[in-house]
Amino acid sequence: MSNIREVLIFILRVIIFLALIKAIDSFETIGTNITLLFITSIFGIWAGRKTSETNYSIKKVLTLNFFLIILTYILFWALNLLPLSVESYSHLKLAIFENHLTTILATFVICQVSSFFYYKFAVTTYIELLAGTIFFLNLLSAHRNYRFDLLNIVSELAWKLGLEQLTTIIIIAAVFFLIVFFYLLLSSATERFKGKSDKTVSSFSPIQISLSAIVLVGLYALLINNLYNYHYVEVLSKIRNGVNDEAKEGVSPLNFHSGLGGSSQATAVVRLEGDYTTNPYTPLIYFRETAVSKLAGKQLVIANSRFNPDVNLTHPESFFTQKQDFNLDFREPLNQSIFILTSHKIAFSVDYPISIVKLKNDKTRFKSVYRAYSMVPAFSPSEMENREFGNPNWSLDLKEHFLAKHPDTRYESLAKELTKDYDTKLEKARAILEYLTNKSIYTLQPGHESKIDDDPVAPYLFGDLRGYCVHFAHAITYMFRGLGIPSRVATGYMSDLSQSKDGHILLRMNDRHAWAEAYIDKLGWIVFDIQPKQVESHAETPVDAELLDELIGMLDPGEELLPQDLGRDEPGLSDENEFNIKTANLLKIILWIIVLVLILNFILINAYKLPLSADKKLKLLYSKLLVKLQSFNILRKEGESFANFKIRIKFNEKDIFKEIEILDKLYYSNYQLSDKESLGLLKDEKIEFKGFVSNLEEKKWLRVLKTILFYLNPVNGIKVVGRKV
Amino acid sequence: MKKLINTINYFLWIRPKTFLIAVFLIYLYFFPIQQKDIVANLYVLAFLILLSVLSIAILINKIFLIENLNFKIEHSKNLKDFSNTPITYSLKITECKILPLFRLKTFFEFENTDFKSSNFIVKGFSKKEVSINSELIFPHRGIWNVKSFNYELEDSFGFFRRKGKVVPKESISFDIYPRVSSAKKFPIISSIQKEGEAFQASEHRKGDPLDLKAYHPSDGLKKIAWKIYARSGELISRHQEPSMNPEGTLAVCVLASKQDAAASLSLGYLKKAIDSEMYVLVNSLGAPNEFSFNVKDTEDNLLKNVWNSEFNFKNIELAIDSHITRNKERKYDNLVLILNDSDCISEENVKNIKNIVSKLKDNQIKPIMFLAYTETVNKESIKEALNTDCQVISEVNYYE
Repeated sequence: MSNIREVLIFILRVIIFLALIKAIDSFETIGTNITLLFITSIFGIWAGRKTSETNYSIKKVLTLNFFLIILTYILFWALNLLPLSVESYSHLKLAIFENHLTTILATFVICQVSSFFYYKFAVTTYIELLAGTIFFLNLLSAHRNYRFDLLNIVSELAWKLGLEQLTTIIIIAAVFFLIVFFYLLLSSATERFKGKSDKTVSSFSPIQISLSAIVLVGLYALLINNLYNYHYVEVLSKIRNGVNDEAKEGVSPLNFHSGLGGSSQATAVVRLEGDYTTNPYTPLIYFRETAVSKLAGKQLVIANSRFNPDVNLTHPESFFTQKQDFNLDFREPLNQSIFILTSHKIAFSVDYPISIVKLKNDKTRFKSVYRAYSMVPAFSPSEMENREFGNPNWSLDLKEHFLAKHPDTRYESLAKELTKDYDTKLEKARAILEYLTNKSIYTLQPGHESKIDDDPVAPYLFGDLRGYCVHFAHAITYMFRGLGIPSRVATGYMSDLSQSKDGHILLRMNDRHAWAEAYIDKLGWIVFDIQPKQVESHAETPVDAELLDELIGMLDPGEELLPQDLGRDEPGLSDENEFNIKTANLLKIILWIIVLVLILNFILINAYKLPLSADKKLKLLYSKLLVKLQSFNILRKEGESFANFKIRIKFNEKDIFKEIEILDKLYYSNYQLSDKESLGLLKDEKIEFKGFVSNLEEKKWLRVLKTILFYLNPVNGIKVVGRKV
Repeated sequence: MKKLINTINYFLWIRPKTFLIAVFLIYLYFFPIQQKDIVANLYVLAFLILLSVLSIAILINKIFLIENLNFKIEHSKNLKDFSNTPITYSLKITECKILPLFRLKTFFEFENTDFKSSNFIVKGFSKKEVSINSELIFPHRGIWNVKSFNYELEDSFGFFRRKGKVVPKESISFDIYPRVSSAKKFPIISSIQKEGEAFQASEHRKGDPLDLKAYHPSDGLKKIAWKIYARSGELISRHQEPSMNPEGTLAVCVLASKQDAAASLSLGYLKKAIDSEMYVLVNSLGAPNEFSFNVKDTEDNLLKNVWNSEFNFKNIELAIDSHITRNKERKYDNLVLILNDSDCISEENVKNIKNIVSKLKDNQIKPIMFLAYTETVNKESIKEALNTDCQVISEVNYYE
C-alpha cells in the first residue's frame, strides 16, 4: 500500500467489517470468540487485496475458496473417523471446534472474496453500498414507529452513554451515514485498483479545505438537529404516553393521536426526603410538571403564568422560589431530590413547589439534579366533604378562566345527565369519575380520525370511549366545567409508591401521565383521575428493581458510576464455558496459524529447490523473482506491455532488465531452454538474485520487514507455484 | 444522428449509478421512512442534500468557473524524441477553478489515432497556472498533432460528470523519430549484381559490404572472382577497400508499417550505405513518389507519411511500381525491400509479398528482402512462409 488514501481505504474497510461482525454478534450471539473473528476478517481483507493484485480470474478465486472449504470438511470428516475417547467428550469437542472453525473460515472467505471484488471492480462499491444499507436498516428496523425499547443495542448504548434513546439512534444513523460518506469518497479514487496511477495534482489551500469542511459539517449538523427536532415532538408524545413537556404559553404538551411507543426507559429517580404517610392518593403519587387550563378554541392550552402560580414551568437547571400559600389547609412540607436521566424542559415535583434548587451534578450519569421543596397535600379523603369548589378569593377573570366551558355543549349535557341524581358538586364529580372508570377502554392507540381543528376528545367521549389518560383528563375537565367545577388538566408523572424502594421512586417514560384537577376551597388543586376497568393495551410494566438498586447506588456522593466490569465475578452472568475458545488460548492459535502459514509458504516460494527438471526449476525461480518484485511494489501496470515495463523499470528503478528479459522470452516465444542452459542460468540467477534483492530497498530494516511480510503472505506461495510459465 | 447522441451525452451528466441510488432512496422514502425509520430518514435526507449540493455545484462549476479553461503543452524540441522511449513534457492548465469535492480528469488525444495521454486529475481552486510534469511513450514514429484536450469534471464520489473538450489554439505536435538501428548484420550487396548470380548466404560472407564490381584491367588478375567468371563468363573483381567514387545505385523501398522496426533498420542501413559512398534512392510505404537520397530526407518522409503506411497490397504495389518505373528510366543496381517480420505473419500479406516479388522478377529486378526481426515472431517460419527465390535476410532489430 503505497499512499495514505490506500491505507485509509483499507482501514475503513476493516472498520466496516468489524462493525458488521459486532452488530451481528449483538443481535444474534455468534458463539465464536469475537476477537478471533476480528483478526480473521482483517486477514481476509488483506488477502483479498493481495489476490486482486494477481492476474487471478474470478473463477479461479472462487474455486480456490471453494476448495478451501471442501478441504476443511474433508479434514473433519477424516478426524471423525478416528477412534476418539467417549469419556472425555472428544467427539463433542471436535464438533464444537469444527463449528468454530467453520465460522472463522466463512468470515475469512466472505472478507476475502468481497475484498477481491472491491479492489478489482469499481461497481462493487455501489453493490456493497446498497447491500450494506439494506442489511443495516433491517438490523435496526425494530425501532420503527419509535419502538426503541424493542432494540437492545439502542437501549444499551443509551444507558452506557447516558443519552436518550432518540439521541442514541440519531447518533447511530449519523455515524452510519458518515461511514457511507467516507466509504464512497475514498472508494471513488482510482488508487484502489492495481496499476492504475492517474497523476493527481491538488492545489487546494488549507483555508479552502477548512471552509468546505465547515460548510459540510454545518449542513450535516443542521440536518441532524432538524431531524432530531422533527422526531423529538412526535417521539416524546408517543414514548411518554402522549404527554410531552412543552413549556410555551398557548400550546398543549399533549398528544391525542397515539401514545403507542411508551417505553420503560428510565427517565428520572426521585428520592423523597422523609416519609409521606399522609398522601391522600396512596398508593399513587403525582409529580406535576405543567397544567393546561386556557380553552383555546376546542382545546386546552398552557395559560399565562398568573393563572397557575403553583405551576412553575422552571427548567431543571434553573432556580425557582415562591411564597407559601397560607390560604391552604392540610399541607405539609416534603423535600424531593430529583435525578433526571433524560432531557426534560420543565422541572416536576409533587404539588405545589415552593422552591426548586439545582444540585451538584458530575454529568456522567444524570442530565440534571435538583431539589424541590413542596407543600404537599396531607388530608384524608373525608376532608373533601362539605367543601366548596373554587376559591372565593379568586378574581372574576380567574373564575372565568377555570370555568370556561367547552363550545361543544354535549359535554355539559352529558355531565348533567350523569349527575342529575346527585346534590353536591363532589358527589357529581365522583359520579362522572365512576362513569368514565366503568365505561372507558384504556388503549394507547385509539385510532380516532380527526382533523387539526377538530376536538380530539369528542370522538372518545361521544364515540367508542377508547382512549388514554389525555382523553380521560380532558373529558373530566370539560364535564367538570360544564357543572361549574373549576378544573384544569395537569401533566407530569404518576407512579405507584408500592414499587418504590426506601423512598426512591424510579420514573419511566410510561409513567408519563395527564390527569384532571379541580380546585377545592382551602385544599387547593386536587387530583381527579380514573383507572379504567377495561384495558385494551397498556404500557404499564413492573419497575425494574435491579435498575433502581443500581441507580440508588449512584445517588450517594462519592459512589463510582456503574463500573464497566460490573458482574465480572458474578456467578451465572458469564456465558463462558469450557468449549469456548478462551482469549488466553487465542494467542496460541494465532501463533500456530502464523507458523503453519510461514512453513507452507516457505516451501511453496522455494519450490525451485525441490528435485524437479532444470527447466521447471528455472521457471519457478523466475516466478519467485516476479512475485518478490510485486511484494516490493514493482508492478506491471494494467495494459503495460512487457517491453514498456522493461523500459520503465530500467529508467526508474534499479536495473533488473536481464531477469525480466529472460522471463519475457519464456512467456512469449517458443524459447526452450535445454537442461544445460537451465542449470547454468539457475546457478547464475541464484547469485544475481541475492544481489538484486539487496538493491531493491536501501534501508536494511525495511528490506528485512518486507521479506518477512513476503513470506507471511500466503498468496505469494500460491502465486509462485500457480503462475503459468 | 451522431449530433443527437452527442447532445444527449452532453446533458447526461447524472451517471447511471446515481440513478440507481436515487431509486433506492425513493424506495427508502416510501417504505421504511413511512414507518418512522429514523436511520433511513437521516440516510435519505443526508444523501439527498449531498446529491443536491453536488448537482448544483457541478453546474456552477461547469458554467461559471471553468469556461475559460485552457491547456498548453511544453516540451523540449531541441533533442530528438524517439518512439518507445519516455518523453518528458509539462502540461499547463490555466483558469482551472475546481470547487472542493470536485476534480477535473483530463487527458489529450492525437489526430489520426486512438492513442491518448494518461489521465491527469486536477483539484484546486486557484488562478495560478497548474503544471503537471509527465512522460509519454509513443508507440511509433510520426508527427503527432494534439487534436484536443478532453476533460471530465466530476465530483469526488463519482455521482455527476460533465464532459468537455478544448481544441488547442495553436497547433501542438510531437516529432517522434524511429531510432537508428545499430544492427550488426547487413546484407552484402554487389554493386553490379546480375540475375543468375549465386549469392553466398550473408551470414557466411566476409569483407566489406561492397566487395564485387566489374573488372577493370587496373585491378590486376588476382582480384578476379574466377568462380563467378566460370558460371557467368563475366569478369568480376573483388575489392577490399571501398572505392573512392560511388560505383552503384542502391534502390531501397522501405515497406515500413507503423511498427518502427523496419523504419529504424532502414535508417541504419542507409547510413551505412551512404558512408560506403553509394547512391541511394529511397521511397517508403504511403508515399511512393517521394524519393529521398539521404538519411535525413528519408527520416522526414518516414515521419510524415506514417499515417498512410498501411501494409496492404495497394500501398505496397504503388511503392514498388514507382521503383519499377525508375528502373526503366535509369537502371539501378540493387533493390532492397525492408519490411517488418511481424507484417509477414498473415497469409494475406505473405501472398501479397510473393506477388510483388514475382512482379519485380517480371521486370528483371531481383530484390533483396530485408526483414526486421522483432523477437516476437519466429524468423525461420517467416522465411519458410515467404519461400521466394530472392535473398531473404532477417536481422534482430531493437534499440539497445
